[in-house]
Amino acid sequence: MLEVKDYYAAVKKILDDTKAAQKDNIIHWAKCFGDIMENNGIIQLFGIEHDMAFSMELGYRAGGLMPYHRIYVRDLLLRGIVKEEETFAPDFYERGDLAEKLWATYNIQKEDAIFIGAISSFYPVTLDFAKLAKAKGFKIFFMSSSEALEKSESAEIGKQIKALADEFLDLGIPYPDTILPYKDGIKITQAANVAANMVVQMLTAEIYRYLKEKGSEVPVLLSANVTGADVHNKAISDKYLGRWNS
Amino acid sequence: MTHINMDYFYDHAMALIDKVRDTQSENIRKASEIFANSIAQDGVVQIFGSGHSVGFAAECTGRAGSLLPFHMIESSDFVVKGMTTLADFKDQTNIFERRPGIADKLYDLHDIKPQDAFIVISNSGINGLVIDLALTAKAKGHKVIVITSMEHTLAEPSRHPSGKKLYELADVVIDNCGPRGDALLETGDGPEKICSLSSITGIYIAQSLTIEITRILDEKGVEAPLLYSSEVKGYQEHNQALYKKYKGRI
Repeated sequence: MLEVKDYYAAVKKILDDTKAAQKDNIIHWAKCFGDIMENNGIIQLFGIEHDMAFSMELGYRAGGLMPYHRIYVRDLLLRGIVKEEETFAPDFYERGDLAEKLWATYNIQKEDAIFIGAISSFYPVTLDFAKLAKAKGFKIFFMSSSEALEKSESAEIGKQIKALADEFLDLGIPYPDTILPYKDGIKITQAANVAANMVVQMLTAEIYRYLKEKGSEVPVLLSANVTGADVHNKAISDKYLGRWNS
Repeated sequence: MTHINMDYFYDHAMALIDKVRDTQSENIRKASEIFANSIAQDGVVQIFGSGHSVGFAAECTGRAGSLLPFHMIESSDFVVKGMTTLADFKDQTNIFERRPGIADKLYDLHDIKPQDAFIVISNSGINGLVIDLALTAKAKGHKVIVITSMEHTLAEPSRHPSGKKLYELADVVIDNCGPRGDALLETGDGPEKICSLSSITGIYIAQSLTIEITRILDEKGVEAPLLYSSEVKGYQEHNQALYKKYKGRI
């Protein structure tokens, strides 16, 4: 019988294992991100479809750090750069012009770095974006899952993204990302986003620690409920005007 | 030195997930009954969340191992459909998600059937758009499940002209157990707090709903409209047929 407690146990094991296996790597990424932020850089977040979860987790929220910007394919739609009907095409993410269009939409500066999250599925637009970033000299951080990079139908694209990346973080998600046995070989529920969000929150904690212990200012966004939060948040976000809120 | 580090966050996060598990299971089960009844009548679960709550909707829609009849309503649909401009949508002086009186238009943008049920997500539960959408859904006879932070919503005044908060409109409320303001860890440095958890407890709730709805449909003898992963023989044909069934609604 399907039981939530079985899902909980399975996911907790994945989270525990990933935390143990990636601890040094998370601390290393935190140092890299902290240095980029100190150098006036923004971490550009790239995730397609369900992999956008980690980018939403990091972008402009209370208790988060300011210097992030989310690259979001829907921005092309909202700006009329692509039409809604075009986005319904089954090969939309294979279009060769999307990555260029996205790059042209934003104000990505030389101090920035690119953080790509692609956990189970790998799309041509993600690879194109990674190629663009590499060609322009940007450092690429790639969060994925080793099993998907071996077994996924789009693994070859994923491997090319990994080859372009400067840093790699393995979330340890099974492939396919379905967790709980139901019946007749069918499994339900997933672990990718909970693992990705936990990892990026742990990353946030470590960036905070790194910068704090260096004696640097940490650009933490305050909750809007805190007196003076609006002034504080505006002060730290104005530094990045036109770069974070495009 | 600071006490903040990844282990400290992890321990707090797991404790809060445990709190959701220990206190919200019954509400998740009640909500699942409502959604299972809707799905058994060929209904769709309509999900709406503004701001970071959109992540909850993304967790539920179009994934192998998930139920297909979940549809995400996005406030930016107003821009996509040409009903407002991007500049107006992003206006920082008249914040879009706080505006009352526009949710009925958002409702009308989608093919929503009488048997559909709603899930509305908002950490604060005080803003105009989410409250109006819940009011619209209730007025049209839909069941409404709300996911919110009770600690946050009880501490803030409503921004809706009615003075109501989102949780007051719900048939079932699921508390994401997040702290007021969502930021989780005290740093000891004035009002500064670091890390947040509502998205993570939201994912736990979303996944629990999938499990409970599937179990209830099973008990009713109704085939759960699940998307199969590539491990299942014939998954492509199965998934295509399912998408065809709900075409235009999800």
